Amino acid sequence: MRGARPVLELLEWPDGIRRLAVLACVAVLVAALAYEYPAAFRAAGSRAASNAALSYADREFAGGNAVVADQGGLYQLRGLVPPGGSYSVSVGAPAEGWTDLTAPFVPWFARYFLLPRRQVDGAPWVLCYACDAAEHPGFETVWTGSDDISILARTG
Amino acid sequence: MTVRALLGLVVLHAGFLGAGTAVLFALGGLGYRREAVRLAGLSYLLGISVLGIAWTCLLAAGVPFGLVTVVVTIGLAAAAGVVVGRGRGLALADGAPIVARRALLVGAAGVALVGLYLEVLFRSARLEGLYSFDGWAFWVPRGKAIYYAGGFDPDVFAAVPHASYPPVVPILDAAAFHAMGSADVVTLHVQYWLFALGFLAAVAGLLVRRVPAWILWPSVALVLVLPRMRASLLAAQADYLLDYLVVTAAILLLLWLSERRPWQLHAAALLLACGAIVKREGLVLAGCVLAGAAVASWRSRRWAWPRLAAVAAVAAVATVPWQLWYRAHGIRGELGSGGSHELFSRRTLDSLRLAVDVLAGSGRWSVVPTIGLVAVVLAAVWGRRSHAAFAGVAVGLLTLAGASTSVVFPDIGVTADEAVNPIVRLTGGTVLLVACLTPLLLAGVWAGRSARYES
Repeated sequence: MRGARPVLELLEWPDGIRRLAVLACVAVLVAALAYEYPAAFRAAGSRAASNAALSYADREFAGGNAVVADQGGLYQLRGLVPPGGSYSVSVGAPAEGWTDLTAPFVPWFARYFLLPRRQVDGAPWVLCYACDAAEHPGFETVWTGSDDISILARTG
Repeated sequence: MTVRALLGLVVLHAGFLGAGTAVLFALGGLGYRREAVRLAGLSYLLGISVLGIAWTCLLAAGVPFGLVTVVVTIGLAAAAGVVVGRGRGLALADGAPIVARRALLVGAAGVALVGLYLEVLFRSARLEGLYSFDGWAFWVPRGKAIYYAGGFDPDVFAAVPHASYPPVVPILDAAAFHAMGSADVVTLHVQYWLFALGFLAAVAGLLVRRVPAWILWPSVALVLVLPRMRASLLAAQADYLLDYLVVTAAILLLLWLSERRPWQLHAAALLLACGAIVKREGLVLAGCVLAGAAVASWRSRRWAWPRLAAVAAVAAVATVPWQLWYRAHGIRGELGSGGSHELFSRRTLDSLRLAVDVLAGSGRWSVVPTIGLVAVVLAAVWGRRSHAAFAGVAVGLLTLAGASTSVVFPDIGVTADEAVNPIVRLTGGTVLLVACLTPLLLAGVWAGRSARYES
């Protein structure tokens, strides 16, 4: 009966009940931890594995893969425009291979991805997403990729 | 994603820790050498805060921001801390009270549980791509712009969305790029992992001698693995850093109300001041926890309220350099357009209902809000009523602040969709606060109203 005494004390009002309430709260937290921890551990391990399995390009583009369609356009432009140089982005009607995010957000992603190159109007390079080349007189196409993406450069 | 980048990042964050330890020493928060270890997490957050504020002032003044600036300012902050501390006649004594062996075992189990999860999270962080929309749309581009331009770049800052958002996180990103040797946006995620590690260490360090280990660790470990936390903890955005600073400041304020040690208030002021220039809602969150502290200190208001008002003033003043800079460069602040028409409309009720629904949703936060609510009630009945008042008021105001977003900004839809409304991200800070205050509330209930906990 001596071993049961601490348990019985927990039923005494008010100190026992007060402590019993704390024990109950901690028990619920421990139960929730036992439920959530394995799932979180598995998810983090799985994410680490999938991050490690990505190609260098997919890891570098990451969220941009949902925006840019063919990665080649940004890679090519990064090679053509020197750091500190400038470019503009011209977007036409959505083409096959694009997502809903491509047309509205490719200028945003290009701004992030291509820094320290500046995105400005009237720049000597144009990242063309299905744009109308006739709207860029004095430019010629210097690279053409898939998904109707190309790069125009000012001639002369 | 190279070893050199990782090493550079570790050295930078060791610099934050070193500078913060010196600042904490100068504030009078370290009495024993061993306390520097126990409070290492708090020191780390203080280091980030002091340097975040200093770098914002320097960049706003046009001082070039490069590796030399980073190293020199960290060194100056550390040296100033030591000199001020010594000047105040402070010194570190050997030894410190040793905790009981049983508590040590429970604590070790808690550390092991958290450590194991952090290890697997680190493996994910070091190869994590930049997926978060806000991350690549404006947070990281601004960091890259500072890195490449050596300062606030008006062209890039004006071009990205939310141009007037405060600059501490982009500055920290730029400092990380300098430390890593390149704008490595993949390894950058380790910086956000280190923020989380520092925060957990700060909470555990502040509470470990005030809360029994068996009450402390379930709550601390649970908050790390909450469904919502595990989905976004590594996101290269400012939300969690702001939450870490505000929640740690809230714990310090609560301890200060009980123990009245000036360093606790001063440290809270630094954390809240940095929070105010981490995100624009930083001032609002600071106001919520300071209001909680004001209500909790009602009985000693003549002593406490002027000091709390001074903390609020410090946080407000910290925003001035950034505001001066962006206004001088033609960038307009983002003020809500909602007026009294929206305030007294059905939209307000819907926004409130949404905020409560998001907070109560167990799918994101597990049992944390529910147990937090029970802990507040238990503390009000059997524990420290001032703690219950603090937690109740702060959480209530934070929930209202979350709800107010879609009232102040009528173009934001009343929905939990994170692409439309930031209510889930805002509620994350509230839940973090609840999770970290719950052990303190429960420890007070366990000890009873007549008992005093060790400080």
